[in-house]
Amino acid sequence: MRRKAGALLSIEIGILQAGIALLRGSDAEFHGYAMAREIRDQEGARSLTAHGTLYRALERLEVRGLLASRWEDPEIAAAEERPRRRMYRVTAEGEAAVQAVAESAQEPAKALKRGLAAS
Amino acid sequence: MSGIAVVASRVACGWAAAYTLGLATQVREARCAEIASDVWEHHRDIVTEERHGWGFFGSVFSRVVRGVPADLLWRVNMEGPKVDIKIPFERIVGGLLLAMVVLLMITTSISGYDTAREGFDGELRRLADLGNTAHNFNAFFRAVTGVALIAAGAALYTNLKDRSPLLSGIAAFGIAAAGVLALIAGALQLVFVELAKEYVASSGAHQEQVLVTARGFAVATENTVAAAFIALVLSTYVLAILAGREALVPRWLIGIPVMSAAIIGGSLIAQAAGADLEWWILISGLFMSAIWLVIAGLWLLFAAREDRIAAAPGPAAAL
Repeated sequence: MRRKAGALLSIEIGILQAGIALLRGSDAEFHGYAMAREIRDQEGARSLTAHGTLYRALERLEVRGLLASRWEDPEIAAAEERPRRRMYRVTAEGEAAVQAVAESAQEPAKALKRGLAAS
Repeated sequence: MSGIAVVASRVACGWAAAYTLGLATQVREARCAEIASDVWEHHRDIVTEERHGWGFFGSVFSRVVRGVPADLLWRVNMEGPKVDIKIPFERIVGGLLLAMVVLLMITTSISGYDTAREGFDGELRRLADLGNTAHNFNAFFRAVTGVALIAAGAALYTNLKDRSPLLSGIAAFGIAAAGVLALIAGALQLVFVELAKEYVASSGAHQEQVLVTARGFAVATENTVAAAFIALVLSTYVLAILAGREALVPRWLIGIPVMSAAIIGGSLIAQAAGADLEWWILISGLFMSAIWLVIAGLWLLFAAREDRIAAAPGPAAAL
């Protein structure tokens, strides 16, 4: 099934919501694994999102301008003796997209209320 | 990182390196670095939570396998309209048949343990003497073989489904099932190796207990490999029927798998009836199915198209 142009997949909404949640918890930026863990915790899932699914979704969101990314300073990674992280952050457009999804989800309930009020 | 964590990391990074092969260096390095970082952070989490290395291996392997379709779609999207690879259908199928010969040999090479009580002690000591690197390499190799068989099944179905959806579906299912069984056999062997180390390190009643458990795993490994082998041989027969029907290879080639099936079937019936057969009779039957794969693969890869057309009386109706 082909999705509507501009529509977000559930994994993409999950990433943006988790990214915003991390932002509120003082982590302005997140790396791929942190995102996979956050999604697992939020959804109460047993397993982490697959690599392919996660990084493909992150790339799609970045291409659409809903996320921005940068590679961290190699010196920080070297100091902590670990591989470099690619850090992502949700952009203002990303936050607006999540807001729009939340509003559209409430639309059927509002329409029902309007219908009931009219009758 | 522990040995098993290193294997898990190599599986994830090896797969990333495989599906990014041929892309621009910058894109390739970025994807591989991102996966390496993810696996490293994942491992650190596991260590912090003081969980077992096997859990980490399972989790990483599951994330790799579940992500394969998305990785392949990503790869296709990356190249987009630039991709203009026109490999003739016959060459793809020929290459896949030849690849199956190699995969068949690797899959069966895991077997051959002497599970008889008298010789089993030596098997365990021999395995325990091998270094961690050899075991890790072996496990990685087996994981790749299993995944490659699944991919070969999918690729054969994709290329042959227009000729015969039913036969290509049966063959692909058999090859993919062999792939799954090869993965299971690889995992069983890893446990078997751990038990071999424990056997050598222990003594007394515990050692006897470990020996019994290890024999159980060795027998399970042998049987799993046998099941994978049977699935591959049966798939080869189905492919031979399909190739013969569709005149992809000369019709006379079908004689090889027919003889193979007759030898194997006859041997199994004779054994069931209590006859004491020489082992090489059964092996020669199995070997003939591999011979068909080699000849058919080479024919499809290298024979002139005109030859194939001359050999073909016309495509049969799809089942």
